[in-house]
Amino acid sequence: MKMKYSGYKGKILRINLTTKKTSTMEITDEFARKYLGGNGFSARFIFDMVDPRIDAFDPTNVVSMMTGPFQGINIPTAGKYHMATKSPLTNGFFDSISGGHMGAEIKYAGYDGFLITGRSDKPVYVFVDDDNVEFRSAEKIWGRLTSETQEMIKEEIGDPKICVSAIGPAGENRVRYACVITEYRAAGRGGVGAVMGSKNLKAVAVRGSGTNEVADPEKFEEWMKWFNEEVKKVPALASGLPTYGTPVLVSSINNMFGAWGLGTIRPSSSRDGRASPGRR
Amino acid sequence: MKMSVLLATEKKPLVRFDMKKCAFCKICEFSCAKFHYGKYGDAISRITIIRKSPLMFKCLICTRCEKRYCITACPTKALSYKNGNIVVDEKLCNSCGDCVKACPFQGIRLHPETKMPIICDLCNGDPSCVKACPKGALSLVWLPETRK
Repeated sequence: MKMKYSGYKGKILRINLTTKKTSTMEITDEFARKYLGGNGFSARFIFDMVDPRIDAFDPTNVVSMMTGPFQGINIPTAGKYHMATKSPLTNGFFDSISGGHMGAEIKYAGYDGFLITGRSDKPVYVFVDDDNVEFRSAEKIWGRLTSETQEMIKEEIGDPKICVSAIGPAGENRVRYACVITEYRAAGRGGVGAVMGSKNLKAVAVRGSGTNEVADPEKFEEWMKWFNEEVKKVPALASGLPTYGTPVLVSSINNMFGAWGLGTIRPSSSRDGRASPGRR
Repeated sequence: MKMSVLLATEKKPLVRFDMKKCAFCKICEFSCAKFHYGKYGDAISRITIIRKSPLMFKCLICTRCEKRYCITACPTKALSYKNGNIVVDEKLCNSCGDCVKACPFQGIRLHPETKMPIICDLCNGDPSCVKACPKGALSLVWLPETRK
């Protein structure tokens, strides 16, 4: 079904690891307008599909990988994808947003996201190639680090261009804050890697050959030029974050929270990414 | 455009890639797909950046190499070298994919819908990837041609 908005593909892929079967679920324009994408989609699906009384490592728990309408076009600061599940660390809803090109690749494959349920009896990884979904044996790569896993999967499929989200030994051993790594970027904090490990799912590899369009390309280009110039005027976005990474925000957030009378952390060396000598 | 055509008869164009400046944003791929098809997608882009390790990137694009493996590999002689570009004759091409396998630089791929080989054509002498790169990692250089 073609949707009214070109930012959505209108299809969610449901992957069941117990039966090794997949099905697609359609989303409507109203649904997209109401929940927008990413976090909204994930929260709605997990609210509908997961029983709140189960353990996080139960086979019926859902791992959701969702994308938003900005994926796969060159809007700056929007290249992210979203992972959510019932967290083994807090036993509540948990979401994490990760960088990398996974979100764009999911869109190019023709989906808005994946919902992964069930538990495989043997280690597997899922390879999504547009409409074909394969469950491949991951016994060779079980126990490997994430960077090795990604390289081995790319070698096995024979395409260096595919995008792989993998877990490492932490996720396999169900460490309750294990991450899922795409390229060198992490969906961290709440243990979505441990839930993937409990499903015996080593990795999700995606290759898409589709395309994305925008409704009004000329206006979009104009807006993009304006946006890129505006971004360069903000010092934190122009020089701070690209040079020092996320830790550059520590000092400014510290000042903000201090002004509000909330808790602050003591300044110490290298905590704000600049390795300046500070007092302990 | 005329200038580049004149230059291409004497010299060889090359889109040079500086690994140290690349931020792996793939804006070059977006701009390439946008220029040629008006859509966004990495399967229809003629330039591809892949990541080997945290700080090691590789740029897959037609380098106009001296051996021209793709032209010799083509069974129907649909490929030819004209004014610094490998040109595809779409009437002769039978979409066998031999040129894709023959290219050691992985600079050729088949279009997912039309199944025609897509090769960098320098966007009529003014590459959009070079213009779009926010880090200045791509540049167009002219090398002396050793083979006509």
